[in-house]
Amino acid sequence: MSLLLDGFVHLFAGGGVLALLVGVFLGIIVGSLPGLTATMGIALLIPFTFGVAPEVALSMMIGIFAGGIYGGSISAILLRTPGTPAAGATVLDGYPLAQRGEAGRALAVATISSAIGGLIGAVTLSFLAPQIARIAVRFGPPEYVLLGIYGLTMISYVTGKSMLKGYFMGLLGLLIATMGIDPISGFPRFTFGNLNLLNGLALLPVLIGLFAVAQAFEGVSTFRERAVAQIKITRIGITIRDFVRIIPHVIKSGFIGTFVGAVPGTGTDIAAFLSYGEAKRSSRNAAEFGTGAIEGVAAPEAGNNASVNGAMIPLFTLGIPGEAATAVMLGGLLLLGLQPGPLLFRENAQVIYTVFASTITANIFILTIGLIGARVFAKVLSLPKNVITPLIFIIAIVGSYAMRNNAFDVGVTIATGFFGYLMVKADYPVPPLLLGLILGPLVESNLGRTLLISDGSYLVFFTRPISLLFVALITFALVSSAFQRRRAGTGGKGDRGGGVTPGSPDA
Amino acid sequence: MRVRTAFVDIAVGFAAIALLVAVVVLSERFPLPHRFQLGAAVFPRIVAVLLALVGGSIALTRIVAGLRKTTAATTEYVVIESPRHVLAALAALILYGMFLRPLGFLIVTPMFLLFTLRLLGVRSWIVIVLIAALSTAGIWIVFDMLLGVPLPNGLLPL
Repeated sequence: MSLLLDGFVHLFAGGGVLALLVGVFLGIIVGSLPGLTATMGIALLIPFTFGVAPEVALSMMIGIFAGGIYGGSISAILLRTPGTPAAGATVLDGYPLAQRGEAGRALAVATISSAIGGLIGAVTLSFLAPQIARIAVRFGPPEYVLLGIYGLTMISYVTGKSMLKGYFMGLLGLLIATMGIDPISGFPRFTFGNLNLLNGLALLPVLIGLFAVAQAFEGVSTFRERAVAQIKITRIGITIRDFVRIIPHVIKSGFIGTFVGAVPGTGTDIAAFLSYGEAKRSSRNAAEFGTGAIEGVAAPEAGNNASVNGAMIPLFTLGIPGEAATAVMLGGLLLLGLQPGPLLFRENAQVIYTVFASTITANIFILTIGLIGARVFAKVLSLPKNVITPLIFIIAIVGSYAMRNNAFDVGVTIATGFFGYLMVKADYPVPPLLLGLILGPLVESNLGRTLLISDGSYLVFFTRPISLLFVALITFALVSSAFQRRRAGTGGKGDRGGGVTPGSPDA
Repeated sequence: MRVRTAFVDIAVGFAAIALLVAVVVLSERFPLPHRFQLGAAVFPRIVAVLLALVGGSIALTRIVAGLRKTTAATTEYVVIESPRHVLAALAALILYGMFLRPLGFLIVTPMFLLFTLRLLGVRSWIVIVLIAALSTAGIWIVFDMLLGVPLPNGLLPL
């Protein structure tokens, strides 16, 4: 508890609170604009954080993530177009409310519910994550190998229509990750004599390419699409009666969202739809759902914002990203010089508890900025795509150049961006490629160490209790995902779109 | 522009097999492992084999579906809308990347924005020039002046 209080002190004293405020503000803008996502926002932000303290940079990323997920509800309510997939369930009752002239009421319900749901998730994260990290600190090289493989099994969850295509992209990421100096022998591999490749492909240009440039190419491709007519806002706010009506659903959805988010491979959209379903099942006004029930806005919004914080539990404690937004955040953590996992809690306790304080404070910002600035954000929705797209290109290129002042990185960004765009068009999801790229070195280097320790025996993976647990988890993840897809029919009709478009699975 | 998804998937499968051959050939010169050590070639080769297997499976599924003339094999397309605009944007982006350093940020960025804004259908030249000028100045101020991240000066003696 005292560590968390210290975190608040550092957040307010170290400038993190301002970064968080800016992050939430930018996140709401990015999230509210259909076609732009929180994942893309985080990817574009990373270059701006060079030279900034890690906790400040992370606070901003968290602000963008949380603000982005909340922001998706604004366009869902006013345009009937969810800004992010996470707001898909919000459309069902948010838009009918707006059509009846109650857009302000719907926006207020979405804002209050997002803040309370997010707060439940953030508090759970702050207290649960250190306990998990305490167990994870006992990991040795064999456990890290299996942890990495477990992380790679998440590919089956962040994959679109075809699981095979997801695994293809994940393996491609693993292969790309082998470029550069071999971690055990020190021999340069697949560098073709290019000094820029000695350390492999730099993560940031690839990340910006896959999640920002590819999205901008999609913007070019669809620039002729007409903007949807927007519903006007009247008074923003809710009555005490409304609050009493939604609060049980908000609290319940907060816990559902946190739990769902903490399970790697789920995501904010699933959390939202599960929360919506549970609210509809248990509500006395079930018949009103779909026609403008405020519970139908409250539950998914509380659920999706809670899952943002739930998703950070495996990210910070084990270094496993469960979806695209947390995969990009994992990349951001590595670029900031932080290795997510149990040691993060021991070696960077101040940073991690400041981050926890950020996750809590972000929800207070969502509440205040959301209620005060709803009209401004509604205006942002009318920003034309053909103006935003060229600016995304510029920020992406400048961001990748700024890392090392290196033209090679710019080339990598353009190449991966165009490649990502084409692959997404052909239904090959890009988040698995990032997972492979990040987790590949972890698996390979620890496999090398494990074999040295065990005198070349692979039995070591089955003789240690935590290793055995991971073997069970990996088996369960593979079997359950195959079973789910078989049940959904044709290998993924139940696809959530998670990972199908660059950045979209940020939900 | 539209291409049958089946063609793309089959091409991806063959590309994966070609990649496997390339990895095996290129890793021929990698040093052999010492006792109990994971050799430099082992991991890339394992991954390349798996990649070829998965890519081959994707291609094979499509070939079998094509032979059976299933609906999916004949009706699924990869559609790229406005392909000329996408290619023009790609060309502009490549030129931007190439000339960013020699000409400098403050010269190439407005040029890139003028071109792409016009390409994407912004009609008023006044609006285009205003957006190009203000965005260039804004990004320069944020990166170069506020964040201390140096952007290339190029020809301009700044």
